[in-house]
Amino acid sequence: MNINTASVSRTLSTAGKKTAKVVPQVLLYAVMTGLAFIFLYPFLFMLVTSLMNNSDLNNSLVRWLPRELYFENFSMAARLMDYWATTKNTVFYTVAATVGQLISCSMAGYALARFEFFGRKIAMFFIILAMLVPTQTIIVPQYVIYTDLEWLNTFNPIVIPAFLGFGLRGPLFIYIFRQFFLGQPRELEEAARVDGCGFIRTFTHVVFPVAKSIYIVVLVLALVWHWADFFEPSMYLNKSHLKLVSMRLQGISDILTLPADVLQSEHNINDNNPISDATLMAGTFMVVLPILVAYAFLQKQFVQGIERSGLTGE
Amino acid sequence: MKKKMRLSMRTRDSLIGLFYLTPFIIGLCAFFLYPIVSSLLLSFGDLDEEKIGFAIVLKGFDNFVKAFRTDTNFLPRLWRSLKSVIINTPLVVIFSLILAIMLSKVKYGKGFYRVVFLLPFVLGTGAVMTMLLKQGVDTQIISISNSSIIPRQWLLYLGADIVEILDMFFSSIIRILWQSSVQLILFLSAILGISPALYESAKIDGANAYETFWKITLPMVSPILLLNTVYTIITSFTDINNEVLTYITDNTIRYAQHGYAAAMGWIYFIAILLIIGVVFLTIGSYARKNQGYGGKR
Repeated sequence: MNINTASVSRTLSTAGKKTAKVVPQVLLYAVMTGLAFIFLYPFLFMLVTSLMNNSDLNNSLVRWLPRELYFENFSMAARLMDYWATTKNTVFYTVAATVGQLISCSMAGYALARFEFFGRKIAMFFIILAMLVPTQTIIVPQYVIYTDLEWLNTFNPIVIPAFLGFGLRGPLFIYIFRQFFLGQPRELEEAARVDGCGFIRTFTHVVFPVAKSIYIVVLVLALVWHWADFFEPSMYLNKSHLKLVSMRLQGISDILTLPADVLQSEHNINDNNPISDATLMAGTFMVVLPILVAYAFLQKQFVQGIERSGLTGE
Repeated sequence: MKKKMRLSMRTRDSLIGLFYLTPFIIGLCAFFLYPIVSSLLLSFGDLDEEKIGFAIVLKGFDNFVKAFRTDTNFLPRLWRSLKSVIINTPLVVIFSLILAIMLSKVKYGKGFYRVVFLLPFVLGTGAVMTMLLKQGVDTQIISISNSSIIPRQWLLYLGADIVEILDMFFSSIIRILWQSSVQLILFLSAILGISPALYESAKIDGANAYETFWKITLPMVSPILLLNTVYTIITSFTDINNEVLTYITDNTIRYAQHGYAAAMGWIYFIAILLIIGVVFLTIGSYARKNQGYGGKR
């Protein structure tokens, strides 16, 4: 009798424990999936809207699935943005600036983490300061410098500072590299030196292979931020053959507000070639597509890189 | 002999260090120090329009007086922008911490959730998000007024004002969630880095989930708490759609008020410094207090 109640209560309590474990798990997945929907929504919205034609857009019953896929939005957006040329410019500028920052910022971060020299603290102070100063505060003198150097309407004002540790958030990248190298052991480099390896070879053959994960992290951050940035490029690039794709996207939304006769005469847009919010979303989708593809290839190493980078205080 | 050897090692070291730092030093002088000093001078004057190139006429504190006294547009913008930073930053940090804790408990589909939660980071900066927000993605997703969540009849009892307030509340929460991608991943890796032994011993000592959070998780992630707070503040201060920045840009480009724009830039920068200073004093000292607290360090 006694044993019986004990075993019953034991089975009861294990069942209770199981439900006590299962219920929070189910709740957790429900909440996570709901949140995942919120995070996916802008992307889904963009994709779905870009495939709608005018009648679907104006039909409030059509929300998720267009009644027919209308791909003309993409060709229209491509024409209005001059997509291939502007994307080529953006790819060139993004890749050049990112490569520049990877080289110069990793060198600076390495120097600050590894070597004792006069002025190291001062350099750190300026890096923190440069992280915090908004570009807009110093844009006028910068503009004057670039005018004097005759760099206007070239990619130099964006690419050359990147090779010198500045450019878009360069100081932040130096800081990230420094934090990483501070957490790395010195033994490998010392062993290399004892074996007679010169300091440049040490950097390229010993330090770099170990630091690959942090290079990927900075690579992704720099690619995404340069791709999206248009404040500085729009200051320095005014010739139409130099425009970036994100600058042209604004152009579509400006064209949307023009009256019908102007649309017909200047952009050859009429009832046969209509333009709508869907065109704008198709354009938006085309602007992010290259960076999304790049990110898709790099995202796994990016997340692992953050975990291994030592940024998170391990 | 030995001493001399060591000295030469040291000079060698510092020379190598300076070698690696050379590009940065050139960049610092050309693209940071020179512009920042000139912009400071410019804020106390204006460009001399009779001369070609960069010549500054000093005017004393005129520009600053104008910003604080005469210009009715600047202070309200500055205030709104500071207010949104002060309100949004804690929300972003808290939401990303909660999400990271939940994500660290997920066993199946970790990879999927990580990819999805980082998606707004790829979409979310610059022109693309601006376009999406113009299309109203933030208000559509949880809009209670389109009766997809709460039936229309119930809304009648609430009244139009309350419905509108709730809609605004949801849309700002959603925007905050979209801003927390990077912070979420940083917190997640910090949480996954905490040694499980700590949690086990806490469990044996009879600590509940609430105590474990305050006594283990939070102190252990405190360095990242600081990093994330500063990162959030900087991204929202340098956001391209920030009201103060667009106003400064307009003054520079459209109205050619260079001196005045520089002065506003400096006021804005000092406001950023003050806020970050407060963050370092509070969260920074909390993080320092917890350094070497258990675990791997």
